[in-house]
Amino acid sequence: MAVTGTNWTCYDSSTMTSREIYGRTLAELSKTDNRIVALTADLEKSTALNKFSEVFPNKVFNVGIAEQNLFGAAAGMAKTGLIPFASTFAVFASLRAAEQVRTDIAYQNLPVKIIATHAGISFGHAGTTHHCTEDFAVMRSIANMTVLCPADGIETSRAVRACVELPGPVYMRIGRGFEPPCYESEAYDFQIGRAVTMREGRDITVIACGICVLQAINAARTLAGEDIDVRVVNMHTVKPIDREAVIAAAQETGKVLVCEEHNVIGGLGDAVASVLAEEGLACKFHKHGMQDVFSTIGYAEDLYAYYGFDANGIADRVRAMMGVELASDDSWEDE
Amino acid sequence: MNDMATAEDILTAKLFFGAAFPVIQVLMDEDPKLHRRTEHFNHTVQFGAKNGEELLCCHMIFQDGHLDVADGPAEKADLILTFSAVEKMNALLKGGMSLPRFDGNLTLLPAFLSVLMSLKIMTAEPKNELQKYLKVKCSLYMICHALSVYNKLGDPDFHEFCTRQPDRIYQFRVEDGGDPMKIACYLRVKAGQSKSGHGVYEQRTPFVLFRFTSVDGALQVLNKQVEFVEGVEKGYVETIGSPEYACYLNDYMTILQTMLT
Repeated sequence: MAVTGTNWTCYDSSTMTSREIYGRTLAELSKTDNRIVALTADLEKSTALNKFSEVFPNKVFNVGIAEQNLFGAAAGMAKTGLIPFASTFAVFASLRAAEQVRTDIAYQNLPVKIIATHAGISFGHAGTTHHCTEDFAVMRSIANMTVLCPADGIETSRAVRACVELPGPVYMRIGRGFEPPCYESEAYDFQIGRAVTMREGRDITVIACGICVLQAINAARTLAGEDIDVRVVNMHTVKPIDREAVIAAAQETGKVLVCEEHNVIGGLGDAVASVLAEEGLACKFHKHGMQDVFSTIGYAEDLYAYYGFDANGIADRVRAMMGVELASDDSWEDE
Repeated sequence: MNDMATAEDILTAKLFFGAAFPVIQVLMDEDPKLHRRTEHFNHTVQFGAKNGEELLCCHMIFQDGHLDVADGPAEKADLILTFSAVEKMNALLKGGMSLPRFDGNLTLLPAFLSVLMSLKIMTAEPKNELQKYLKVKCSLYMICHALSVYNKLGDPDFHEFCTRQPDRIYQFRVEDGGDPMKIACYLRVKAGQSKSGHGVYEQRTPFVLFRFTSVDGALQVLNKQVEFVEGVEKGYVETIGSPEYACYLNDYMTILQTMLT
């Protein structure tokens, strides 16, 4: 299915976008679980809940452009025994409605599943006001909250299924859609709180989440040609973090690079750093993310490249940590 | 005095010299018939057209099965083809009829004309699997060359497009019969500079990868038998990377394809 609109593309959205897959998975789950309901703040299409409402029109509640109300209502529904999936843009979920998420939902440990779309800088041209590079920091610091950041649409599907049975609140951060898949199928071991090793390596470990996972894999492929053996760990659960995977990375490779589409303060990098410090593990360590700056505006891929979240940026950062310089290529003669 | 060529005609001619002629090397290497005809053809041929009092031309140096194309007149050409106008030269190169003036060693003419006519593969319907493969390979190589030449010739829009980009690779790849690298070429741009290359660029991951899933599928997209988006829907091609920039580049490719065919 071709998609048009603000996100021009000719990708097959039904197999690629986390948002679309989220809506579809929710509809599938709801067929056998009457507790599942969905809420939106006037972003039914943008958050792909139309996939759900096409099947279950009576289970979708649009509260209008009122994000605080969205989470308040979701909390109320959860109190009645329902499992509400409340979707809106990440920036609104984590900042505008932070108090309702904290007090109405997390304080009562209610099973509200917050699906935060267009996270990080994935909303590109929509601008800095609609980017969100602070949400991990906010959500990690809220007690009872589980924080997930799937790597692609396939993992989003696994995460949506897994979080239904999780008793407390979940914050699931996904992109604008159109992120290419890094898994070929759902046939892999997904458990909340357990990282996935995407690629073994002995020289350095890249711990990544979200879109950075595929880019780290691609970077590792390029670096393999330079005799740099990179382990790639998909830390899809930012909280609670998989301590064992972090410890193994430090002990077995001696260098840890954390890549996240988030401010380096308060995000996955800090979560990994805490584990290393608490365990007294010494290793070369770098947090690769937004270096405490507001993002600029542009197409998502332009921004990913600008901030070094693409494969080339991650490869450059790995080379820097390895003390290796890429031979310059100044040949401009056509072949 | 001859009529002066339009700027577009001159640009088209330069694109033929810089982008289409170098592709003949592919045919010399991989088309057995042409390979036999050219492996011992060690001569220099000047090819061009008059433009008023000036001469717009390039020369092709054939040496032991290798072809070099260089701008401007040859110091010593064995064979010279000169059209009376740039427009007429372009017409021939696009598959039309037009006769140049011949000078030099005319016994070389049949062999050189067979070289020139080999470019017809770009416009003719391929008759067998080899021709299909060669058509796709030549078309993609030519597009990459043309994009780079178009930038180097200073087309304002495209040059600005290249100027605004950091080091980026636009990779084209055709998979076929289990061979993921059946055909591969790339365009590299960096702050206004550009380069077209053959194979896969190894140092950087492509900013956009145009991945064709078969020669047949690629042929349909390149021949415009299906629109690009339709080609995506049918699984003939996928773009991996920035969809917006894939779209921009596709627009420039269409402009160039129209100029050259």
